[in-house]
Amino acid sequence: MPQLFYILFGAAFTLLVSYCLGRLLFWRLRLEFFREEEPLFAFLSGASLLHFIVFLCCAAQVAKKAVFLAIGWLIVLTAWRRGALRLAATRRFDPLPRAWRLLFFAVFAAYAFLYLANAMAPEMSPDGSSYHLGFVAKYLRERGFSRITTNMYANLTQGVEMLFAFAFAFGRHSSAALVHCAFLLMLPFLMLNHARRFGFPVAGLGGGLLALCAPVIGVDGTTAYIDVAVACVVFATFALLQIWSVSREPKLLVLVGLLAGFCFAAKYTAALAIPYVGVYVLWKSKALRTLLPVAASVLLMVVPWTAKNWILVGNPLSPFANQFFPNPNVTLAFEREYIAMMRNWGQLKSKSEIPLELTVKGGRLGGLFGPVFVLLPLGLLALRRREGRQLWLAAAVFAAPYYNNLGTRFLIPAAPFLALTLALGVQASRGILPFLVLLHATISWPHVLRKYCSPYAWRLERIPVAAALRITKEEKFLAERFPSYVIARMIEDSVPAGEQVFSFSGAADAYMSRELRVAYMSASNSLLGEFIWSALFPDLAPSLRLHFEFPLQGLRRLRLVQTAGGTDQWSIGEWRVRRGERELPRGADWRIRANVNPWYVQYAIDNNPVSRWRTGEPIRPGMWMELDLGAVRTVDNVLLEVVDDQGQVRLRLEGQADTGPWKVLSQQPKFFKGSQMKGLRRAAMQELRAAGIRYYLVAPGDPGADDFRVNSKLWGIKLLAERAGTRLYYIEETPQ
Amino acid sequence: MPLNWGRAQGADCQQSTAGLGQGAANVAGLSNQAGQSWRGPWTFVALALSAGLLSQCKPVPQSYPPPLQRNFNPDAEPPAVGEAISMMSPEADNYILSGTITNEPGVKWRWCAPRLEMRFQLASTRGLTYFMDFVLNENTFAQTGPVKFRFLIDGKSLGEVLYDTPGEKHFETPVPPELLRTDRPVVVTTEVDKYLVSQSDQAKLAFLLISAGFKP
Repeated sequence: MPQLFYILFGAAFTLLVSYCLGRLLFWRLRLEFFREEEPLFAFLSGASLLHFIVFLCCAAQVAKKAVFLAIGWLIVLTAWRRGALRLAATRRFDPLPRAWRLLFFAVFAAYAFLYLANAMAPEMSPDGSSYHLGFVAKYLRERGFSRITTNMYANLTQGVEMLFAFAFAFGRHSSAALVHCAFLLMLPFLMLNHARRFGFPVAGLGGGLLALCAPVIGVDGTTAYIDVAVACVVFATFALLQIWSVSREPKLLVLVGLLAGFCFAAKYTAALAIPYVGVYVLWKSKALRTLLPVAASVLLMVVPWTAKNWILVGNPLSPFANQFFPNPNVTLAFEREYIAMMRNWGQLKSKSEIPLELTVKGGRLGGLFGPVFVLLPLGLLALRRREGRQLWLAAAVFAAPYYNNLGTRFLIPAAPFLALTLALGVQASRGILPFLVLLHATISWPHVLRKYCSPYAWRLERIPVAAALRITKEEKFLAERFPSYVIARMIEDSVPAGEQVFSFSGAADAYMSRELRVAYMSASNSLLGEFIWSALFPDLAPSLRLHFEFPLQGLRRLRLVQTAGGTDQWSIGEWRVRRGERELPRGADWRIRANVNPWYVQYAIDNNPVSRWRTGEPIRPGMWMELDLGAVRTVDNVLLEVVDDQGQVRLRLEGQADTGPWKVLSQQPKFFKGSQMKGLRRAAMQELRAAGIRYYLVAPGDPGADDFRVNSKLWGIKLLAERAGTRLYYIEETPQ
Repeated sequence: MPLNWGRAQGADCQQSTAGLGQGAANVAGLSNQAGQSWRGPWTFVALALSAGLLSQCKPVPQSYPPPLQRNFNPDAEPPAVGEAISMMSPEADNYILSGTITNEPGVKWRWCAPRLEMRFQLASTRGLTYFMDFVLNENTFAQTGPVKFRFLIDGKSLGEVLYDTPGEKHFETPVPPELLRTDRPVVVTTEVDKYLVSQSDQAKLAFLLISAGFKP
């Protein structure tokens, strides 16, 4: 069978099974909608259920094509036999104005062609080809979830990815992208239906097209990203809630809860749908018990993901909330740095650059909505209507996460609401809305867009029909256009199965089966990255010595207590206990522990000065590290080898005899600089090998990239392969 | 991933908090032994109490034994480079600091830019000569004409030579000991005054390096 068939089957089967699940739910709940609404709501609620089923398959380690096929057909047959596939709705919306209908379908058809061609083409989006589909491919290879502690993205909720997995099992990457594209193509109809129900169909037509043609929505929705699917589910939640606010049909709240919960399951930032729904329902009903059906269905969607994270990585909300759920996988310092970095995305000189970046340029914030959105303030005119106020409220709620991430796509969940408010605001002025829609559709088309937006803006650039139809071979298309793919294939060709590769840069994980451990993606990776930096950069070498001296005495335990507060992190390369100049050999009966980041304390007593334990969070008084010497030993000084990057740290040394109270041995150490150490490069690589990593990938832009080429002998590494300037090394074994 | 070098001990408080939680649940009737469960406000009071107690509890951190001790011996570090190198050697990359245009491992020669920097680690400074084998390509020479080569060691001049014919060349000159050192690698710079700019990729093509280094 040709590849194209599998791609289309994978996507179509996923959509069909989702639809059938939704229809079965409607049949069970006996819900009634307008005829135009029913298929869309059925698909979206069915998608939330299908995600749950795939989750269970992954949890039960049975996630594979045959199982999906069996489950899928069972659902389709059940829906057919129960008669659930027949549309129950008899009511239809009033017909749309003829001219608007023509405009809508003309623009829709053109953009549907553009989007389908891109979605069917080989997947080469940065996040889609790395973690969104990387994990999907991994789950399918391994039949389900596994404990992944070396990549924080594995702990994000993956509701949409579960749908991708269902499609990927049959048609791989492009099937998944097509599923996302289906959400994109549904979005304008969802918006239109809402507008028709509440009496502003023309604004619904215009708003739907404004959202559909927005360049960032187009590029996101045609790849294996998830933002447009999230926007679709968020909008459906809103639309159903509005329907409930009029009908007060209690069974609708089951659906509302399901979709609000699916928002969380799809993306953490969309979890705002849950309090939004909760407060709205409570406000309207004034009765706590009305929340029960909402809560029950929300929990059905939320509990699996939080439970998975709690069980596998010790933090239900990983990679966030590490302050409340300390764990060895993500440090608090990293979480704060990550949030701060996202908050300052694009390195804008001033926040006043944001509007122009979001609408016209798009180069620094990763995409644009189109110049027409400059007119968004006109949408404030929509506040005159109840529907407009509701839209603005929802827009404000779902745009709130943008404060924490300035990337354009973080506004996609709010974009449908904003597009509708703009359309609603100008619809009264004759001719303005159709003009804006036509203008927007014209200047958002890739060939026009490139004439004014930033060349670095994330956008669709072509209509790759030959690649979509696989007339151009997938391999050739990717090799010519996607360096990340070339690097992934280099790794796949050169690294044996089951091996791990360390790197400071990512690659297209979805196109390889070897595990790439990227430095910033987990606490353990980050430490290994720091060890390499320690060897690379003299400023980060463990060159500072802290010497605590005290009267000779018998001690069983020693404790270093940090007494200052500040922004630095406290770290220790080596903790040596001595009598005179002689270091006590570390016995098997010794024990070490710390009251912060306790999982990595062994790095402080491994006789490798490059490896170091660190607090993983800014210093505060009361942090301590304790060494139990196994028995009372006679000692008179302690030497710490540390990196000179912790000027705020203040240490006190305490000791304890076998029993009895702790006493202060030294209020502060003497400081001196050690001589420049040789052998650090090989010591760093030794730590990678000790962590089970025997391959190291160096991209041209990585820190000290050239040093690995020039000093490969000192690092103890051997060049295996090189593609597009990126080099793959084998880490040679060093005798212990 | 935590280091898996030894069995951890500790987490005493986790057990005690589990007990507390169970106790609170029993008080609240969550265990459902008598068919009575969720006794209204008492449930919430008990849950709040147990949550409060749990939040006060600081688990004893796990402790670990010393891991396998690393064999860190800085003096055993091998020198990164030696006294001479051929471009065919798999270690050629280690010697070239900058200035090569092609870096194909195992190939006899590499195209060089007008300024080439290489490094060599010497065992002694006395009685050494510096040599370089290279090729002046006929095509580039046809464009540039005679080419002057200038050699420097750690920035100090070693000598200049003018080559007025293309083909394979051998440069060799004694090196004064005062230009050399043994505590760290010496950097030899080769500069040429004329070169060809490639039409296809704008690369500055000067000469083809075969081998270089110091010998007694």
